[in-house]
Amino acid sequence: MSIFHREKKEKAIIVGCGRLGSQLADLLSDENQHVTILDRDGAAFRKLSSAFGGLVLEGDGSDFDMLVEAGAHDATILAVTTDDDDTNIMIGLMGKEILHIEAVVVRLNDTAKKAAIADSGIAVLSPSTLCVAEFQRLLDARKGEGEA
Amino acid sequence: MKIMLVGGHYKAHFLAKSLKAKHHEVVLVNDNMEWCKFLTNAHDVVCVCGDGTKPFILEDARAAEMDAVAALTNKDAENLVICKLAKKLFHVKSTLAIVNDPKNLVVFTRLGVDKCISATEMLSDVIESETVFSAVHSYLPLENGRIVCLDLVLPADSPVCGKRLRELEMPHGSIVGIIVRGETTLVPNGDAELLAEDKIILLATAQAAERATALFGGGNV
Repeated sequence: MSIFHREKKEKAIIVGCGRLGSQLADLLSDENQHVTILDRDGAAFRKLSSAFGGLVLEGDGSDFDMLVEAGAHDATILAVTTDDDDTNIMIGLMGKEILHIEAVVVRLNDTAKKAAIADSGIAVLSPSTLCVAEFQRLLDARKGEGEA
Repeated sequence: MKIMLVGGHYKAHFLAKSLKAKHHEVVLVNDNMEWCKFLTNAHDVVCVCGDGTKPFILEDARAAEMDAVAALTNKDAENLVICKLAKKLFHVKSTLAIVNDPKNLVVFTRLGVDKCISATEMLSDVIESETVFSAVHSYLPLENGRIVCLDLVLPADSPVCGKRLRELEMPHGSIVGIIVRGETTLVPNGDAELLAEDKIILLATAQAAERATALFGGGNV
């Protein structure tokens, strides 16, 4: 995504070290950005690659003080990827509207809940919407081959 | 008023009862089918069965027609989402959320929830008022506990009995608002004399409350 490619060094906070969160953390770490990843469960950090060069913090990311402890006051990116949409919305709103983090991205499995953060400037990652677009692309590519 | 209560087991039950008694129109949303049936029968109200954090459930419950929506679930994040959806999608005027973590009182207010209530905070206020201030009869926290209004009765052995208000070294951030003496109520100036058995209504910041109470010989500090 374009927001992750910038000249200056970013300071990113990732909440939720699941499959998506850990891959995102590895990616940003490989690009030499400052990364802090949070998860309630310390065992989740095993998903990070051995080359991960960022910080890990065990704690509840929906706790405002924990976000501050993770360095939210001078973060430029906040990616929220826990498995709970409501928690993601809450953390996203805290990051954008109270801590004024520049780029805030939240994962929402239920796209209908997007309405709760409409007009807030928070970007939404919706796995099902992304999959449908990719599915469509694959079908179109197949059609293209057929015609050729 | 038309009021929607989302989630909350016994909270929804007792609130519905109390609001119906005050002739408000009540709509409930609850994700437990059995409990929905019980609530519908008990209160003669519409109860929509489903997850109140989902927009289509709120729509089924006609959220757009509500004057107020109260989110009563056990999860702070769910209550925030319910209130945000009510505001943004259904333009409900007044939203209320219950929070578990008292920290979220400030957080949710800043995020646009109209009124937040923390049971934890209320409990701790009550416990404090019972233990810290022994001569204090009632203790009312305002502005999320930053200010307190309390009343205390001057004991006969209080060091301030017979003194004028101006002679007291009131802690910074505290003021005597009213003195109740028998049937008379006076808003005092510096010349007011304090007598035993006077009831003092004191207004103070949370920091000053304890010292102010101690000054009147009322606290066990």
